[in-house]
Amino acid sequence: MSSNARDSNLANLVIRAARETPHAIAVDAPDGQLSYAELDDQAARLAGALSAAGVEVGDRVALWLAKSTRAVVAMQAALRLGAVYVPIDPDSPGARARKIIVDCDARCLVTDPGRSSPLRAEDPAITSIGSDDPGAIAYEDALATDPLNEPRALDPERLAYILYTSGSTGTPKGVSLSHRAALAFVHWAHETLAASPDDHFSSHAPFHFDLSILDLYVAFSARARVCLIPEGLAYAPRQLVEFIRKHGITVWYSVPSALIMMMEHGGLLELDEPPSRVVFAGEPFPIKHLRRLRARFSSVRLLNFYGPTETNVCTFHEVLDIDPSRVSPVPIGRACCGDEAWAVTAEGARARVGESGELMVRGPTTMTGYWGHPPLGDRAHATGDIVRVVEDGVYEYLGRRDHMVKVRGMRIEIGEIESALLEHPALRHVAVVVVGTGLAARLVAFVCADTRVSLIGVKGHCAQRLPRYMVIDEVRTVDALPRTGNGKIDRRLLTQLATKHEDEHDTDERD
Amino acid sequence: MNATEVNQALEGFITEKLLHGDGADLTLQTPLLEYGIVDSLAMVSLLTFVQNSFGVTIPDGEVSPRNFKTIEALSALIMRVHGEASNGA
Repeated sequence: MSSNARDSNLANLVIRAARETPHAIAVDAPDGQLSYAELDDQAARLAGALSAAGVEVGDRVALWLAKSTRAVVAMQAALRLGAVYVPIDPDSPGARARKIIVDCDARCLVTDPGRSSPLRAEDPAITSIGSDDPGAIAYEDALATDPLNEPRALDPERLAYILYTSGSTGTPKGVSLSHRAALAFVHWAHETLAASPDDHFSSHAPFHFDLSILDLYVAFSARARVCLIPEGLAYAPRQLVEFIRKHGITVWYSVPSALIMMMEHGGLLELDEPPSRVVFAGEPFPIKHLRRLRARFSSVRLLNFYGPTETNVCTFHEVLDIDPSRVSPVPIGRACCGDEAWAVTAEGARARVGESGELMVRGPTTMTGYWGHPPLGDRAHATGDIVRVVEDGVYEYLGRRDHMVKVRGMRIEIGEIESALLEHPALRHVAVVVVGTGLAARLVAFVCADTRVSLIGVKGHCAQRLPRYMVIDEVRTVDALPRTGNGKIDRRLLTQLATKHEDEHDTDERD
Repeated sequence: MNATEVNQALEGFITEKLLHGDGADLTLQTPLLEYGIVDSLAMVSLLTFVQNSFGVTIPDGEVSPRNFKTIEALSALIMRVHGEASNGA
């Protein structure tokens, strides 16, 4: 790898590619294609516009817009200035977008036409680019600004982006990551995947989800192409398989749920030319489905990546032959990217082979800290994930130690949903549990209500406050929430009740 | 087959299979995607239901958020695809 690639600013990947292969396609998106030269030019111009609007090193630039060339240009523009981009789920309601913009104290918001600023009159005013708001800078005008060609030379410890994840107290939590952390992962993934300029990367994950870091920056690092899958198609199995065929995708990266859906309903396994590398992360891949994928795609490299947003990918396992007697998911594997990983038992000792404990991670890919909280420093990040030590340095995922759950790889803090539900005037007590796993995972709310509430009414209430994947699926009204001996809500019993209900109904084809 | 029948059938299916029987407040304009009533999995079962009940196959190109955002939108799509198929026959 050239010494240039070790440059401290993540934005240099595109600048270098634009110099070496200006005409190669960098981004293929629903709103058009950009060559590296075009991406470089647009990013330089938008950086000029941001700079003219007063955005400086370290300022936050919120991005609340659909997956598009515009979103990629905006990220590149922010990075060049040494500003920190903050991607917000474009499907999130305005109330949640506002919470994030206010929490990170953004200087500027880049958004789509048709959206207006989610801020209220009492919030600090910010520059708006691309919205319909009066006073907003039109995106086309921003792109007509004189380019700011030289990216800021930066201390690599400076933040590159903040990814907000669900927070247990009702406010999303901003995981703050530096240029150093991003590049440590990108260099490792580039080598591990043997990425080349001929590669076409899929971009399945939304930009506020950390899987997108691989899709975008490993592609840019390799001077390859990244093909953006619009939000609406992310779980449409046949269109996804057609997308792979049409775009000649060679590197696929997604949560296992998407792959399983494509296998079951999209004809993935019938592809004549599947991607040569299929990477998955975010949740365990049920072994029966992975086994089919392994058997059918015998010459495809299959890689299981593991890591919470706080560490990006910190362990990985390449799936070779799967033992026919295996019943549990494949391991999450060994530490990578220069990170150290170890497990600590309930007694506080380092777990030995055969023992289980909480996975701890320290190293170059870990976050700087949560936005607005003290930095992590040299301390290890406690993942909250319980793992078993399979052999020395090799781990198998067992489950969570807290109320965080995953639905299709998206992190959900039950507390954030419960806080949102309690804002409903008719709800006095609530407890939310998850029933099922992977594709079949569903959120069931047990509520004590003053007046009858309809499921649609509660869903509508959630939809104004939470991203779509956190909207509850079912409401069950109870007189009182069951408590354990020490007065805590008996979530185990509630989960059993919800599961039993599920079995009785046995309604669907969700197996 | 008319729009009212299609609407009723869709309401019935959504209430029974996607809302666990609690169809109170469900209207033709309820935002199905925004409220998380129809997700990707539900879309697959909805497509199967539409195929079995009306003999209408929704082309892949029409499976988009725009066409699934409300019962009204989906119903209009079904009527349109049905009409095109009959005219073509």
